[in-house]
Amino acid sequence: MNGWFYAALCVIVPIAWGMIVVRATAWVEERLARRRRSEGRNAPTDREGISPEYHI
Amino acid sequence: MEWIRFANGIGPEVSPVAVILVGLAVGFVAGMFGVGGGFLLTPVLMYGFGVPPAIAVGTALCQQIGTALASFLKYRMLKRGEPRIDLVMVGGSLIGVDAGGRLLRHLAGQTPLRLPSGRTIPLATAVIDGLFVVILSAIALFIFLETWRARHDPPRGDRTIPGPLATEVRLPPFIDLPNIGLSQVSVPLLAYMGFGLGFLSGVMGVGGGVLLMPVLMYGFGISARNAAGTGVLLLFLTVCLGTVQAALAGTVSLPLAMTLLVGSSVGAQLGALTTHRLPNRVLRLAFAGLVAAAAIAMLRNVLRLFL
Repeated sequence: MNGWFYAALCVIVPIAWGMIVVRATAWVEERLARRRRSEGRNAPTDREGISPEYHI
Repeated sequence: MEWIRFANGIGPEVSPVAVILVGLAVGFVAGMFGVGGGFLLTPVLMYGFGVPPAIAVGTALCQQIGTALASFLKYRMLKRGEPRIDLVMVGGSLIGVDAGGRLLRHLAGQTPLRLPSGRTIPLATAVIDGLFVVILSAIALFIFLETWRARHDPPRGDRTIPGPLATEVRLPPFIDLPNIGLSQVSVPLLAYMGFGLGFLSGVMGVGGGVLLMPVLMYGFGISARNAAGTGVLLLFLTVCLGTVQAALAGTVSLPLAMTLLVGSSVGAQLGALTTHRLPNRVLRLAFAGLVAAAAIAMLRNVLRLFL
């Protein structure tokens, strides 16, 4: 295989994969946020993040 | 599950499931600390899977493209870090990657090193192992000492307390970094730091994040969370160039990199979210512990060669 073509493939394929993963994660987060909005605080995913500094 | 001979036909046969799980673990660490995970992945590929050193370095760089991109986009969404630092460092970094890659290829062409035990190892392996042990040990020790010294200090949250590199290096021109609360930071300093990190990327297959994070935390006084979000754009650009160079030299196994990436891209997302929820002090200690563990594992491998 042509060297430059393979080099381009080695950069483009991981970038494409990274973009797919980011899109998929954003889609999942959007769905969870929508569910939180519709079910209020009782929604199973509606957990407050831990206080970052005061529990150590 | 069928086992596959990944590394351009010359590596050993490995299970794709094991490769995906390694990718998941490395990706989690990468996303959590804003590093590429190369400092873990290169040794794992070399000693865990028996991949030849040059292919381990090239493949680690290639898979970091995906994790670095995913981490960068995630940190931008969370508004962590200062991408201006990355943009200033990138010029020096790209030159450094080129220099490091040339050195690695030069070493790969040298006669193997004969050890006192009678064994011979490639000179490139000896240099990579030596650099890993020295640099990782120094970083882990430094972070442990600094965290111990500051154990009674009140929690600082994400506040920046300007460190010596931000206040004492007065080499013009300067740049303001409003996202992390720093002003008048020396541009040449950042550019030379970029060169150093890029050089190590080219030689060791690390993205440079493992070095950049302590420099940002202790040299510039940035919080661990902001430091994690700062290096990822530079990391992305650096590993892209490193991958092109390695691919042209025929030392990237794209199938192996992509199998690793299946796990690591998911792990990177989970890691970035974990960072968002953990205290800075815990993050620092976790990072130091991880680096120390990697250094000890590497040292064990080196000693095994000598004994």
